[in-house]
Amino acid sequence: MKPTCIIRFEILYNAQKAYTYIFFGLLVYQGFWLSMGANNLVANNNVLLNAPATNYQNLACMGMLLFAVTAIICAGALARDLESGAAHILYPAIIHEKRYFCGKYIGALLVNLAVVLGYPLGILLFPFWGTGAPDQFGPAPLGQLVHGFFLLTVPNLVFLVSFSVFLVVMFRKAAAAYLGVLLILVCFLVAVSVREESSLVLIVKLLDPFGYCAVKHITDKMDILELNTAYLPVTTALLWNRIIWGFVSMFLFGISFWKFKFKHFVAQTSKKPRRQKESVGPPREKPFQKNSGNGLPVPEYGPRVCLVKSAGFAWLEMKSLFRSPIFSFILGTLFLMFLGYNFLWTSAQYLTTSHLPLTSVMTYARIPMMIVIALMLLILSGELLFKDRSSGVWRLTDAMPTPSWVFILSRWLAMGIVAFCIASLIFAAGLVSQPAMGFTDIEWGLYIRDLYGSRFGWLTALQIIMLAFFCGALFNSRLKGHIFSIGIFLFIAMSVDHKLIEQLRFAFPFVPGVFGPEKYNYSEMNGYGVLDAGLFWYAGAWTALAALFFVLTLLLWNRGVDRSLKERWQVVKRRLGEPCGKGLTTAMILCLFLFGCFQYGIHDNLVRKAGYQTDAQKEAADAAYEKKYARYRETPWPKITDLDLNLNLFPGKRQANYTARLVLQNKTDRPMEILHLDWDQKLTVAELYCDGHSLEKLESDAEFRHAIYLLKPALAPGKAMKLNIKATLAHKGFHQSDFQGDLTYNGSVLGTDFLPFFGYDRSRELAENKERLHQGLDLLDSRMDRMHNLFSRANRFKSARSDSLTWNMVISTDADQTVVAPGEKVNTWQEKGRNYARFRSEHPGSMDFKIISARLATRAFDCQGVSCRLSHDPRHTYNLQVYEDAVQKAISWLSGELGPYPYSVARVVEKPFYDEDFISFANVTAVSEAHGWTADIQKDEDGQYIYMTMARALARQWILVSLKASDVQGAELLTQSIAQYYAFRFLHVIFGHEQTKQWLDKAYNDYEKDRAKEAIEEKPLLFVDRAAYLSREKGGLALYALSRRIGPKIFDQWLSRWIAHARQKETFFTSADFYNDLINFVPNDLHPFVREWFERRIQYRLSLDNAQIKEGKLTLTIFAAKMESKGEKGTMEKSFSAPLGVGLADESGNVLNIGQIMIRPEQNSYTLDCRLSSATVILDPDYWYLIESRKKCSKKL
Amino acid sequence: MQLIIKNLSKTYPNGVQALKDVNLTIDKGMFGLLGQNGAGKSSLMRTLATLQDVDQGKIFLGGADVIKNPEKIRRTLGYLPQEFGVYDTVSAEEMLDYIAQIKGLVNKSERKARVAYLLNRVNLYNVRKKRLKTYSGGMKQRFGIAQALIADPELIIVDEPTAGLDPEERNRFYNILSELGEDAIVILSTHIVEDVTSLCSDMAIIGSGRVLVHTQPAKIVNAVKGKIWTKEIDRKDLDMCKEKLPVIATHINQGRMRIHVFGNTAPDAAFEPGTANMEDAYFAVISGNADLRELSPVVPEGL
Repeated sequence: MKPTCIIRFEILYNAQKAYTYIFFGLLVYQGFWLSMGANNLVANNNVLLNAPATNYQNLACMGMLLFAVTAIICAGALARDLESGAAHILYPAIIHEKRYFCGKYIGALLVNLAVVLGYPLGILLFPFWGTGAPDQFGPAPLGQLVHGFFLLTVPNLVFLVSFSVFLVVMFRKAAAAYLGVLLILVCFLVAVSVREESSLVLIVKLLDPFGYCAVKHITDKMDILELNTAYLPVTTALLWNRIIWGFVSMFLFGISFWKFKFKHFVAQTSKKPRRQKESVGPPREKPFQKNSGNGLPVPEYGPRVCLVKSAGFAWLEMKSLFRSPIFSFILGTLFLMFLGYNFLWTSAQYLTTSHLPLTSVMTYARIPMMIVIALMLLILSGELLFKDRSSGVWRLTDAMPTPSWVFILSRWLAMGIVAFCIASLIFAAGLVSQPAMGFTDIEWGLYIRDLYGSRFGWLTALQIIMLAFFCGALFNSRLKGHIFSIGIFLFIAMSVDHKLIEQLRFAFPFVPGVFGPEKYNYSEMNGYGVLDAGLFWYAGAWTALAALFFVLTLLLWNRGVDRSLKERWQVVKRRLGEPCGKGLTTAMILCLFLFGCFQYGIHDNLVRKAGYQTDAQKEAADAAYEKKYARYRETPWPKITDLDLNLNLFPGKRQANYTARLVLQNKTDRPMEILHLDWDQKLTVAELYCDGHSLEKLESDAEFRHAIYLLKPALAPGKAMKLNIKATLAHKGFHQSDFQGDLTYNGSVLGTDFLPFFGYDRSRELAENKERLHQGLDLLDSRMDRMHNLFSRANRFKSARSDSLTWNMVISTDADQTVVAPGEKVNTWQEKGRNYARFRSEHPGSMDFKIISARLATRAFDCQGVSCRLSHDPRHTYNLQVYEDAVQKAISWLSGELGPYPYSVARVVEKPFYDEDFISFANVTAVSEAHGWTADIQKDEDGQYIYMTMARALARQWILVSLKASDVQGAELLTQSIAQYYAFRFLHVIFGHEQTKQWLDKAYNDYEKDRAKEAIEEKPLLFVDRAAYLSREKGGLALYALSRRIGPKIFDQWLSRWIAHARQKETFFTSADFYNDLINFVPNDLHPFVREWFERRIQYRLSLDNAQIKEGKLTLTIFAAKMESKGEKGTMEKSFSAPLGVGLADESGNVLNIGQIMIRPEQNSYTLDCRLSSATVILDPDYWYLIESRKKCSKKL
Repeated sequence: MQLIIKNLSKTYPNGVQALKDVNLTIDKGMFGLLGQNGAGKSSLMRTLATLQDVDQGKIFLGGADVIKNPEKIRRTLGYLPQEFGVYDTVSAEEMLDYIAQIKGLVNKSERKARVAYLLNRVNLYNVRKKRLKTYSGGMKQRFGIAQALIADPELIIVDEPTAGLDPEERNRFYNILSELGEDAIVILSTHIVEDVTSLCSDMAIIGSGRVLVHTQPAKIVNAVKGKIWTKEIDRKDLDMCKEKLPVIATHINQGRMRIHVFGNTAPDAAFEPGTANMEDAYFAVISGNADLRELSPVVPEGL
C-alpha cells in the first residue's frame, strides 16, 4: 500500500465531513475576529486596519480555535482507527506500518493545512466585512500574508500536528492530543503574559512555540510606515525560534514514526486486551439464589434515596477520574505550574518591581490560567456527561430504574469536586509558596473568596460545567457538545478581552474584576472596591442562567438509543406533560424569572444609576459634547485665587458633601458676563450663588452636564468675586469597568473635579485620532495647543481653573480613616465619631491637588529640618525603612541642588493602584500601592526603584513650586523631564553610574515600547504633548546625556540657577523658554547634539561587530545608522554630526573613556590607541545617544 | 405476571421498519426469540427495555402500561443487551455495586453480599478487584450476566447472552436462567436454535419485524413433522435445486452436501424423509415455506 492511498483516503474522508467545512468557516471567522480585536488595541489612526504587522502577529498567535481544530483533526486521523474498531480489521491487512503512519501524518497535515487556509482568508477578507471606512484599509498585503503564513503559521501548524500525532501514538487516545494541545496553549499564554515584563526576554522569545513573542517584539518597535508596509524582518531571535521549534517538530515526528507499531498501537485499547487469568474455581452448581442468602435486598427509589445515590455516584466518578493517569498528570502539571507561577513569574508580571508573595498575588494565578482551566472543565464535563454513552454502559444503566437526573447530578457534583480540587491546588500552591518565600501574612479569607467564589473561582467553575452539560444535552453529541461549549466560552472570553462585548451582563460567566478594568484588579488597600458592589447581581444572574442550563439538560437529556431531533422534540413535549415535566417547567420559569430580576438589577444599578456607557457610547457622547460646545473652547473664565472648603467624606457610602467659597478673579482685559459651568457626573450642586452678583441660568444641559449662566453685573477686568457652592458627591449604583477611586471604600483620591469646571472642559475631548475620525471630528496633530496659542499659553498646565491659589480646607472622614490633603495640617479633631482635619496652603499652588482618605498608619521622622510623614496601609510595613531612607537621602541631596525643601512637612502617602501611579502636588506625594510598598526588595534594582521614584516625586515638588508651566506643548519637559533627570542624577550619586545605567536602559526601552503605541504622532521633545514616554523617559535621558557631556556639576549648577530664577517670575513658562536658555548655556559645539535630542526625533542603530587589539591599536568594526523620524513619512537616514565615545570596562565594571570616533554610516572599521589588552569595549559609555540596542554595543576583547 | 405486547410497530428515521404489528403474550418461564440478523429481535428487546420509543402499540407488564410508565418495567427488569460497555477504570466489584445502587439496592451490607454472591455465581469472584479493562470478552459477558440478575428481576431479557462464552460457562448460565425461569419471565433472544428447543417452554420466530410464529417449541417441530425431505447432491447442482425445489437448508456432512426440502410429499424418489427438528422448522418458517401462524395464540382484546 502506498502512502498516497492513505493520504487520499484521509483527505476524502475529511472532505466528506460537514465539520471540516464548519472548521474552515470558523477559522475564516477567527481571522476576521482577531483582526478586529487586534485593531482595537492600536490607538493610532494612521495604522491601517489591515496593516501587515497586525497580520503577522495574528498569523503567529494562531488563535485558540485553530488549536482546537488541529487537535481534533490530528487526533481523529489515528485514534479513529481505534475508537471505531477498524484497527483490528485494517492493520492486519497492511504490510508497511511505517508507510501507513506516514500516510496518516501527511494526510492529517494536508487536511489541517487546507482547513487552516481559512484563517489567512479571514484576515484577507477583513476589509470586506464592513468594519471601518475604506480609507482605513490599505491594499491587500498579499505578499506579507503569504510570507507570514509560511514563516509562522505553517511551521506552527507542523509543530501542532507533530505534537498531536505524537501524543496519540504515545497514549493511544484522542483525548491525549486534546489535553496536550491545551498544555501547549498554557505554555503559549504564559510566554505571552511574561513577554513584556520578563528579564529573560530572549529565553521567552525562544521558548514560545509559535514565535509570537519574537514577532510582537519586532512589531512593537516598528514605526507607522513599517507597520503599514514592511515585511517582517527575521531577527536572530525569530530565526532561532523557528529553527528550534522546527527541530522539535522533526523530533516529535521521528519519535512517533519510530514508536508507531500496529501491535503496540492496538494493544491497550483492544477489545481483547492482555488476557486476564480467568478464575478456574470449582463450578458451583448450587441452585441459584434469588437473593444472597442474607434476606432479599429491597430496592428503594424515593427522591431522598436518589439524592444519596447521586452523591455516591459522584464519589465513584471521582475515584474513577483520579485513577486515570492522564487526569493525575494534568493535576500534577497544574500544581507545578501554579508553583512555578508563584515562584518565578507572578512577582514581576504585572508590577514594576518584584513583589512580595501577597495572598492576592497567589490567588491571581487563576486569572491568566482562566481560559485553560475553563477549557479543561468544559472538556472533562463533556466527557463525563457522555461517559456512559462513550463506554456503552448506557445500554445497561438506561434500562434501570434510576432517573436520568441522578446521573446528571452525580456528574455535575463530580465535576464540582474536580473544580474544587483545581481551586484547592492554587490554594495549596500559595500556601507552599508564601512560607517558602519567607512571607507569613496569609489572608485566609481572600484565598477563600477568590478561589471558591464567583470571581472566576469555584462557583464560576460550577457555572461553566453547566454550560458544558447543556451543550452536550442539546446536541446529544459529545463532540458537538465540546465544540459548541468551547466555542461559546472562547467567543465570549475573546469578545470580552477584545472589548467586543463590553457589558459583562451579556458575557456569561464573567463578573467585574476578572477581565478588566485592568489586568490586575485587586487593591491591597481597597479590595475589589466598587467591583465587589455588583458581584452579587452578576453572580446571581449567572447562577440563575446556569441553573436554567441544568434544568434544560435534564429535560433534553437523551435516554436510551440515539434519537433524531424530531424524536427528541417529541420526547421533550411528552416529558413536559408529565408530573416531573411540570416541575421542570416551573423550575425553568423560576430560573428565567430570577435571571431577569438580576439582569434588571444590573441594568438599574449600572446603566441607570451609575450612568455606564460603552466605549462607543462614551466616544459618541464626548464627540457630541465637543461638537456642541467646542465653540466655547477659548471663552475665558475667571480664575480661582482662593478656596475655602468644608468637605465631609463618607467613604463607606461612596458619598461626600461640601460647602465651598471660591474667590474668582477676572484676569482678562474684558468684563465677564457669561459663566460656563461643566460638572462631573458624581456632582450634584444644591446651591450656587455669588456674593454681589446674580447668576441667571441661561441654559442647562443635563445630558452633557453643562450650564451657562449670566452674571450680573459682569465681572470687571482684574476684579474678584466670591462664588458659594453647596453640593453633594455620590457614586450611585455600581460599576463594572471603572474603579471610581475618587470616592471609594478605602483609599479615595478625590481630585478637584468635585468643584464645577468653569468653561469648556477640554479633557472631555476625544484624544485619539482614530476615535475622532470615527466621530467625524477634525484630526488632532497634537494633544496640546502649540506655543503660539495665546489662550492656552495664558492657562497653567494641569491647573486651567487657577493660575495660583491659596486654600483653607476642613475635611472630615469616617472614624477609621485619615485625611491627607495639600498644605499645612493646622489641626485635627474628632467630632460625632468622625475625624476632622484643617489644611492650609503654605504657598500659593496649582489646582491639581488631591484629597486622600484611607485607613492609614503614619511614620514620622525629620530630615534637614523638614518633618516627613510616611502614611501607609497599616499592614504594609515591609519597606518603610527603605522609604524613609529614600526620602531622607532624596531631600538631603535635592536640598543641596535646589535649596531648602519648600514646605514644612513632606508627606508620602500610599494609595490604591487606580489611575496614576505617582501623584505629586504641593507637599504631598501619593504613591500607588503597587510601586514599592509591598515590593520584594531583595534585588538591588527593586530597592533602587523606590529611591528613584521618591527622588523624582520630591524633585517635582521643588519644580512645581518654582515653575508655572503654560498649558501648551512642551509643558511636561518642564514638569516631568527635569524631575526625571534629577532622579537619574540622584541614582548616580547614591548608587553610582553602573547602577544608573540599568535605569537608563530601562527608560530607553520604555520609550521605545510606548512610542510604538503613540496614538497621534511622536513629537520632538521640545513639543511633548502629554506623552510620558517622551517627557519622562526620553526627556530624562536627554538631560542626563547632556549633563554627562557638559559635566554633571556644571549642568546641575546651571539648572538649579535656572529653576531658582524661574521662581522669581510670576509668568508662565514654556519649554521654549527653557530651551532657549539651555542653548545659550551649552557650548556651540554641542548645539547639534542638543538639537538632535530636543528638536528632532533621532535614533541610532549601532552594533559593534568586531573588536580586536593588536600592538596597542584597538580596531573596531562598527555598523552604524542614524535615523530621523519624519512622522508618517517614516524614517530618513542622516549623516553623523557628533563623535561617538568609546570606553573600556574592566572586570569590576569601571569604565574608562579611551577616545571618540567620528562615525560613518554602514559598516566601517576604526582604529584607536589602547594600552589595555583585556577588557570590554563599550560604545557610547556615557549614554549620549538614543541607541536602539545597547547589548549590541559592547564586545569583550 | 404476564407480559403482553400488542400491535407494536417501530420505523427508524432511515425508513427501516424494524417492528410490524408485533403481538406477543409471554408468561413466566423461558421464552425464546429466534430470528435472523436484522429481523427485529434487538429492536424488540430494546423496546421492552425502555431504551427505545415505539411508533404505536402497547406493552403491559402485570397489567401496567410500560410505555406510559417505563419506571414500572425498569424496576423489575434484568437486561443483558447484545453489546454493552463498562467503565474501564473500575473493578467488577465496584461496577456491580454501582449498578446495584442504580437498581435501588440501598443497604450497603446487603448490596455487598449480593454482589459477592453474583460474582461468585458467574465465576468472577477471584478477579473481582481487577479493573474491567483487563477482562476478556468472556469475563465481560459473565459480568453482564451478573448485573442483569442483581436486583431479583421478574422480567429478564437476554440478547445473545452466550456470545463469547465457552461451553462450560454457557451451560452454567443456562442453568441459572432455567432456575430463574421458574419464577420470572425470561426472554432469550438467540441465533442458536438448539438452545431455544432445550431451554424454552415458549418461543417465537420473528422475521422482517413480524412475529412469524409464537407457540411451544414442540408444536412448531410437530407442525413440520413429515414435511422435511433430504437428499445428498453435488455442490454444483445446488443452484438448480434451489430454483426447482423449496430448499430450506443445506448441510455438509463429511464433505458431501445434503439439502433439506419442505413439502407434503417427496419431490422425487431420491429424497428421504428427514427427521423434523427445530432447525428445519425455523428455516421452513423464515424461508416462508411454512406458514405456522395459526399456531400462535389469539391476541387478547381489550387491553
